[in-house]
Amino acid sequence: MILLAIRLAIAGGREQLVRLVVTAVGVGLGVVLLLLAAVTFPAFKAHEARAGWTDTSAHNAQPAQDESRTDPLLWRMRDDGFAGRDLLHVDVAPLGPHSPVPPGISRLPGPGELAVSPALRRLMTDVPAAQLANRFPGRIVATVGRAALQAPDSLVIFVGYDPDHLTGQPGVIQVRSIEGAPRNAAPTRFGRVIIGIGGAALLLPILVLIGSATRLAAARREQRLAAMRLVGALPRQIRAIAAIEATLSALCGTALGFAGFAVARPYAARTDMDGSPFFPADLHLAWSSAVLVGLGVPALSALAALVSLRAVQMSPLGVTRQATRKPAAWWRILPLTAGVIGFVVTLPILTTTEGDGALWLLAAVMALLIIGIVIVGPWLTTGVGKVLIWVGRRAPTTLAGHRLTADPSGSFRSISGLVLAVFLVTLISALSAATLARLPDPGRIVLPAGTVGTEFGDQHAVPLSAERTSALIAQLHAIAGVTAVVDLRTSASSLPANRNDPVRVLTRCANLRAAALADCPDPAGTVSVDARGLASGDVRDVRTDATARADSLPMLGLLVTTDASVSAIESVRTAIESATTDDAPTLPWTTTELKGLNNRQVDRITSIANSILLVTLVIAGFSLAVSVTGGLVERKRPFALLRLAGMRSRELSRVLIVETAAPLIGIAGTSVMLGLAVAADVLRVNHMPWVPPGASYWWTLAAGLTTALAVALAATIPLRRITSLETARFE
Amino acid sequence: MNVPILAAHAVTKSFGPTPALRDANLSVTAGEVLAIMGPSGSGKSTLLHCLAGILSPDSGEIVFDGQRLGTLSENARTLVRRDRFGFVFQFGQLVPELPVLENVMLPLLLGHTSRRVARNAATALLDRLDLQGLHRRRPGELSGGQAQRVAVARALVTRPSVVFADEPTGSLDSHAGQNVIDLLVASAREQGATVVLVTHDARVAACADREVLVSDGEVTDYAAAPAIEHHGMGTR
Repeated sequence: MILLAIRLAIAGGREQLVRLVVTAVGVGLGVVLLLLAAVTFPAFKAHEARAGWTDTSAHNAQPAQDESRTDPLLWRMRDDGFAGRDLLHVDVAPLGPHSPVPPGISRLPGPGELAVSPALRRLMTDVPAAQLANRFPGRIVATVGRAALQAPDSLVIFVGYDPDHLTGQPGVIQVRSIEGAPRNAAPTRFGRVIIGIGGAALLLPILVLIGSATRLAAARREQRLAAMRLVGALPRQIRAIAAIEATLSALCGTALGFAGFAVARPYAARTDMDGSPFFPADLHLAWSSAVLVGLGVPALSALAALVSLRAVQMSPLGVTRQATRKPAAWWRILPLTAGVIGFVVTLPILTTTEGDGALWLLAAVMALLIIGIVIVGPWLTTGVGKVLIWVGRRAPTTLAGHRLTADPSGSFRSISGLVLAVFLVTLISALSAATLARLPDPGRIVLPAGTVGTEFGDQHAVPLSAERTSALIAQLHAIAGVTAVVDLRTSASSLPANRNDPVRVLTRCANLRAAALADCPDPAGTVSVDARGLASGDVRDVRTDATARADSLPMLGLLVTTDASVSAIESVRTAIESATTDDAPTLPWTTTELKGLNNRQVDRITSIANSILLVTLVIAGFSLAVSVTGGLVERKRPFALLRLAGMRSRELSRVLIVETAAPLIGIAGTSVMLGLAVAADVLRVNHMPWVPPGASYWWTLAAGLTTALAVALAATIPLRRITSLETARFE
Repeated sequence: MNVPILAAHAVTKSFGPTPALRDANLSVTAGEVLAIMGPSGSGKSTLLHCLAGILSPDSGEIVFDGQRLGTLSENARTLVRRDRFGFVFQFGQLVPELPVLENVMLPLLLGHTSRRVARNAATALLDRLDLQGLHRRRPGELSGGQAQRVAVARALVTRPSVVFADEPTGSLDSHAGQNVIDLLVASAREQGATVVLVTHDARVAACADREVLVSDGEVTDYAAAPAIEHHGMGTR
């Protein structure tokens, strides 16, 4: 029996070979995606584990060293940057021989010594010292190893100091250990539920792709197996043949998938799914995952083949009398309706309740919504088919409509995976857009692009002498590309009486006008600006101040506008850091980084959501391509007969295009509308204004749908050859 | 007196609201060649499918070689089909992926006969049916007449007690059809097999020992059907 099944699988001529190859490629693609999904979470964890030390504080949650046996270490970590990239600047000064050593270096750098990451070392060599290296006076004595680097391109520097030099400086703390606990990207259980649902959104289309590939040309296979039933094959023999056949092609696909994964892994490591790329070793495939995928996919394929056999087992007459497919009944809308009602009813409870119960309720309602969408799919597909029949003026549209209404489940199957993803991503995008709208909008930041500023976090003036202040301002003016330097001063009178009240800083009106930040009436006069608004880029509140000479007051910070070139921005930043690094609790920022501080988290969620949408739609495209290929092989004779009856191959192509595109667009559109509706309800309950998803979402949706259709319709290219008139002859 | 090998007693079968057979009675003796005739939609194929145990009657019973098929399990009926019955249908019964030789060997392989024995039996039958040289061809590479002769070979390879043939010449021209039916009947007679033949072609039916007529789901002996021409059957 096994030999017979193998023979049927591999020696069935060209058509069987095409089927085997398409199935293997489809399954292989699914396996590559499954393996990438399997290594994604371990890769995130590797990122989180290596980023743990950056949370080092005086009270570490999971000290990497036994604090009773270590000497204290003076520690100051500040966020720096270069050309839009994060640069972690850590000052260290040991207070004893047993001070803790951070990961990635074997010993602490001494005074005047530097330990730098490989990427930073390359950068320091490649760019002029005035733009980067001058920020770190000292000599490089060590390279920071992988253990301290979140990503291969991480910019990290440890600067060694004499303890006397560092003691008492702003931002310096004393630690006895380095934090050993990984940084958790999803610290809350809610976050994990969301990640779990997101994972399911990506996993489902992959499983659908594998299922579609396995069931390729199922009707034709069922016909053949029914013919075997007629000559006496027992149901268990049919099941064995189908299972062996499916397992064999799935095994080929799985092997192909593992090979594909090995090729794709280095490229996948370069993606920055969580904000930074990975070391290839981060994408480590655990044995358990490999075994699960290696055995699970063939088992799943065998199961899918067995499920598809149900019609054949009903009667050996399957060969001459096809079982009538049940129409998609109206009750299919009930689970989704229940899910939507459940969501609307429970949402107010969920927002006011905490604890596991609320989370489980949320998970249950979301699960009901998701299952509801999948169940209602064939009913919607029938609806799409009926609409096509109703509006169809030409034969191709009518034929496509009848095909959809005759087998709505089969037509919906290949796109069922994307429904969940489109729904969830729409929901996330709409919620992200509303959240972003509450944050300072980059568009509302009046600071021009390319502005560099010092942090205005507290009321400590930069303790530069008047001479050094003047020298720094002169130095900044001399940098090529600098358009204006706004020095912000403070006076006793400008400090608020209450600590929580806004701090107002003083500057000359001429400076603000030169920087195009404000249009104050008297260029020679002094004006005051809200320092906190300034920190978020808001300098609309400009008031005239009676102080005669701002220039003579202590400087609280600087705003330097440039032509936005990297050389100008980084030269300004380096000049400011060189002059003030010992005394500033934080390092200068740029407009880009300011935007990033506000929006990076939401931007990242939006970016990941859009990536999931795109990947899901492309996977759906491959599923559709497999289905279209299967449909072509299955229906080549009826199509050939249609051509014989006078239908042109162009019109047959149109049938395939319409029956592929209509459910894809119709179902995706329904998912989008449902996602938007659910998001609107979430926002309503949380008293947030409705904001449609951003342009990136719509572009991604359009690009994804177009790509999916293009991939699917590429499968119709051999239509003319497959449906040649000689195919119409008796088989 | 000849003992019937296959009999239908008061068989009724409907498909939804449409009755296909009404109280049909029929018996076939061993070695007999019986032609079931009737116009399209009269229920003759349904009768054949019920006799072969493919369809279960709504009421009445089918008795084969003393066994009531209705009392057998699905597996047992499958084994009867495999070991005791052979089938020749109008088209679609050959497995397109398998070459001619293996298509004929298939029923034996499914019954766990060794490949060598199965190959010998299939080769002998193919030779008998003038299909030498076509062993390696696939069904799609055969003419309609050749494909039907392969189907006849496959139906006979297990040396069945009964061969059921449903419009076996329906898709062939008269010459090829006659050739197929002659070979089927001659080979079956050589093996001592009973043949139950559904056809609406009077020339095909002429090869049979006896004919019955199915009309509106009811079975009558051909001899008792004086108005046969009125059914559009042509003359014998």
